[in-house]
Amino acid sequence: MPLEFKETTQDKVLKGKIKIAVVIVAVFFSLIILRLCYLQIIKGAKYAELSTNNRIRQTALPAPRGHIFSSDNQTLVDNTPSFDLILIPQDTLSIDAVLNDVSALLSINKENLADLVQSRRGRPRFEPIVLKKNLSWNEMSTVLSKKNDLPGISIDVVPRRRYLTDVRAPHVFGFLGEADQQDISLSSSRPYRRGELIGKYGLEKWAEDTLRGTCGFLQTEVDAFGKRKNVLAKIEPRGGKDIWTTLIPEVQKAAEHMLEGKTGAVVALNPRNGHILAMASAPLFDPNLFSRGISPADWRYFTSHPHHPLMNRAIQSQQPPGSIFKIVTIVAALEEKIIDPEHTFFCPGYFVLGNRRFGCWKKEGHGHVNMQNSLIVSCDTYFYNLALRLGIDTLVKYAEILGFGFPGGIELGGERPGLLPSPGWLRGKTGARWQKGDTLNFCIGQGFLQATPLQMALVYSGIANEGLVYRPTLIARTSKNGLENAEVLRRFSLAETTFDFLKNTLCDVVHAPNGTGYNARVPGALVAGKTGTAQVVSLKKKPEKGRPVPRHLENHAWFVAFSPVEEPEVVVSVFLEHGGGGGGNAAPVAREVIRAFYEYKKKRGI
Amino acid sequence: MLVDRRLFLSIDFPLLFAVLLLCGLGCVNLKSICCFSEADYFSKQLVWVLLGFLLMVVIINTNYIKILRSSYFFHSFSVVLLVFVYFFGTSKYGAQSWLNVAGFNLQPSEIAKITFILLIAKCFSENLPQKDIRGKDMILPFLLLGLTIAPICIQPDLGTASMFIITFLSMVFFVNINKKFVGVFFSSCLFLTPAVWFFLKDYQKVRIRFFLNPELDPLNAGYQLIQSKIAIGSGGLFGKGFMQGTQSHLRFLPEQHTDFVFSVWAEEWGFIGCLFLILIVFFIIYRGLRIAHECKNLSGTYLAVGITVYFFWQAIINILMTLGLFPVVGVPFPFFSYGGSGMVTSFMGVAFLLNIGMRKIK
Repeated sequence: MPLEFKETTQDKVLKGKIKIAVVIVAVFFSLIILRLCYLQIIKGAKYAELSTNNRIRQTALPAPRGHIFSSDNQTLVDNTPSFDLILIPQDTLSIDAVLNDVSALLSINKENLADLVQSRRGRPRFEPIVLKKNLSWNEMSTVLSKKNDLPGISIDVVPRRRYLTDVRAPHVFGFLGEADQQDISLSSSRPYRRGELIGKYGLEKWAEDTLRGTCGFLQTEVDAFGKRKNVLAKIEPRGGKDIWTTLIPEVQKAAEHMLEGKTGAVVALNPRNGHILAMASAPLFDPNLFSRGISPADWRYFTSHPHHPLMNRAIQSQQPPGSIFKIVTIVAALEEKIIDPEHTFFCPGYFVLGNRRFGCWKKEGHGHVNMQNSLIVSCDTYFYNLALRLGIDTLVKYAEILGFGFPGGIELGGERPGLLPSPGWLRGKTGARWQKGDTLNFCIGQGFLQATPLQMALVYSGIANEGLVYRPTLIARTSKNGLENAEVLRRFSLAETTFDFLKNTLCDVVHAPNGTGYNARVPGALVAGKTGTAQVVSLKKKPEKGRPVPRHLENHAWFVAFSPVEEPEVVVSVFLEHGGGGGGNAAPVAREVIRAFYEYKKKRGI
Repeated sequence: MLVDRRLFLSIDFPLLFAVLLLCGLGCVNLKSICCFSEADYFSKQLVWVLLGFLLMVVIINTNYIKILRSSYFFHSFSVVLLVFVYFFGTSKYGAQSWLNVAGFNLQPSEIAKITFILLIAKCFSENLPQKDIRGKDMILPFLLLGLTIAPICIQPDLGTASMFIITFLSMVFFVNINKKFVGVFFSSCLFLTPAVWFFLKDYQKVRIRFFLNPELDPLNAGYQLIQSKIAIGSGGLFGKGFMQGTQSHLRFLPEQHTDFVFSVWAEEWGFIGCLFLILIVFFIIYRGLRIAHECKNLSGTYLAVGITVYFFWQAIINILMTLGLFPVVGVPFPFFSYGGSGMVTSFMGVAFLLNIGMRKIK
């Protein structure tokens, strides 16, 4: 029986080991006692001094964030010193008296200051309370001149994010905000301090880990009045790393200028590597308002604004593309070889399907139209004819090949994929059957179909680059001489004649005498493009001719272009929300953006 | 209740007295901590001490050999709880190791510590040969260890898991093991240690990195250590007096009611107080080892040894933590730190020690 006691050698060994254990334990405890002896008796006086009034002050030294440059090293976002008025409760005898003085000196409401101090009750008394952020030079000199009469008050220098005013691109750069509870929690590998700023939107958010620095600290010994006696330890903050964006400031400026007073978006990208050269969304906002924490009033203004300025329309606005979608119908017809491009259809200004009339945008009709002219004058009737011959499934197939319904995978958060409807989708969504009328709407980019401005730029860059589409990117590089590799988003092959036909015809849309896109002509360069005017409501519901159309019923204006026609270097997609006709309103925006691009090239001698 | 007068008289009263004294000092310390904060740890702790004491009385009344016979059953129950907590528990400090029962937060891993020691004591006394124990004999004990810490590792609560490993290895020290095996084992451990790094949670890596180099993050982890050191050092020879500690009351010390109780005590009672506290702990451990030494039953000896080394490591790691000589891993001071599960577990442990001590002869 193992439980029974037997005097064995094993037992003797065990008892011996227990005695050894007593010795080991005694040694451990003696060492601890020796250590305590050292800390409490030998060094006791020093630690006692450090603990009285807690003479050790620990101050975080905030690290400057990395800058954002353009690829040609122009500074777009940097930091500038900003001055905060702080109060350390422990260093003052009467908080009330100091607050009185401060409110008189800087004419701040004393109630607000008292509330700030009240909200920090229960926190250690040595922790500074920020009374006012962003002091002006005037305020600062006033405080500094009276500093000796204001015990416990001092001025803290913190880096403040600065977005250069002439190139704003607020939706691309984004903004900062105070770290929330989740960022502060220990479980992240680089915990944030309370009140520390963290990228909340745009590239500031995407590149947070790169841009954020490592904060330093200063450990000082202070006297009973809070004056610094000597520095015990200091670790310099390490600034964040810089990033270089693909945006070209000159092109971005042109886009933002053209959008002024409008609602809409512009995307310009290089079809040969996916670099976004400009991305603007209107209405704009000033990201500098967020740099030191946004005020509640400003925040309310942004969130209640009817046109939602914080929304990045370039990637988040999904609307029917209108006629710029027509290239899909052309591609399908050419690839499936259902029609000879020279074959003409007669356009009387409408198309009859059963007992319904589908209007062409031009009520008078276009007469006999072949494929080339159908794009140049954007004749809807021609496309109705093609669509019925192709059928919805073939159209959807080619729309998918060209990239409808898929996000581009850009770095910014919140990108939307658009919507590519199909009979199956409609059945799942509403249970309704797909009608031939739906196909007619689809082939001219109306109805359920939705696309974002970035998506349209990518679709046209697929045509411009003959089937090779790069993933759109805003990051040129993350180190001074580094290089980011262009990543292929998708590849498709169409007959060479299809690409040639499209490029030449889209060029005619701009340059032919009767072309709808003549407003996009840029002197000294060939531009290929397509206008789009997406109907918001059917013409019937609109007020009669001659009376002004209310804004929310106005059509959306689109224009997508690339240039030069052979080996294109830039694709521009313009979307104006309720902006009216595409040719009249959106094409000039594209023209100015392309012009800015060529001027930039000329200036740089490329 | 205690009916057998002979058994009652053979209880190790000095040990019991030392334990109750330590609990009392712990409550006094908690009273000082909560005099400036809203949380009333003092009263809650009194409730836990009472609960632990009652549980101890129940355990003392049953012969430990009977309890040991069912140790597989008890420990299986603990492991089931550990798995259960993984799915239904609540999270604290990044580890899902708490179970909310009727408003109380329980930590099944604490209960598992005692049932694990019971199990290993049974296993060592029944399944190991008398001498020259080789690797193949140790397969079963190591398997039991692995099965126990696996659910704790996925919580993941690596601090607790390493307490299991340390306690287990300390118990292995007492068996008559083949020297060659020891050599092979420790050298393989040496190579496996870096692998453990990959299983650590971010915050644990941070803590260990900061322990090795506190200057890396003086604002958080390093700051705690500096402040803890100042608290202890500023206590001096006689301390600042009850409720007079400034470091703790101005909230320079984090987790002062669990991890850093010793710092609070050291600040208020000075070197003399610390010496007194350490002597009490040493006395408890000495009595535990004495009970092991005098026990004439192999399983009882292993059980007494296991519980005692468990107390020893908890106390020593906690003190070393506050002195900045060990990473802050969240190990409470037995009988002294605030914590329900920990207090109940410690009382269960002492109950077994007393149980073994009063039934020396079979």
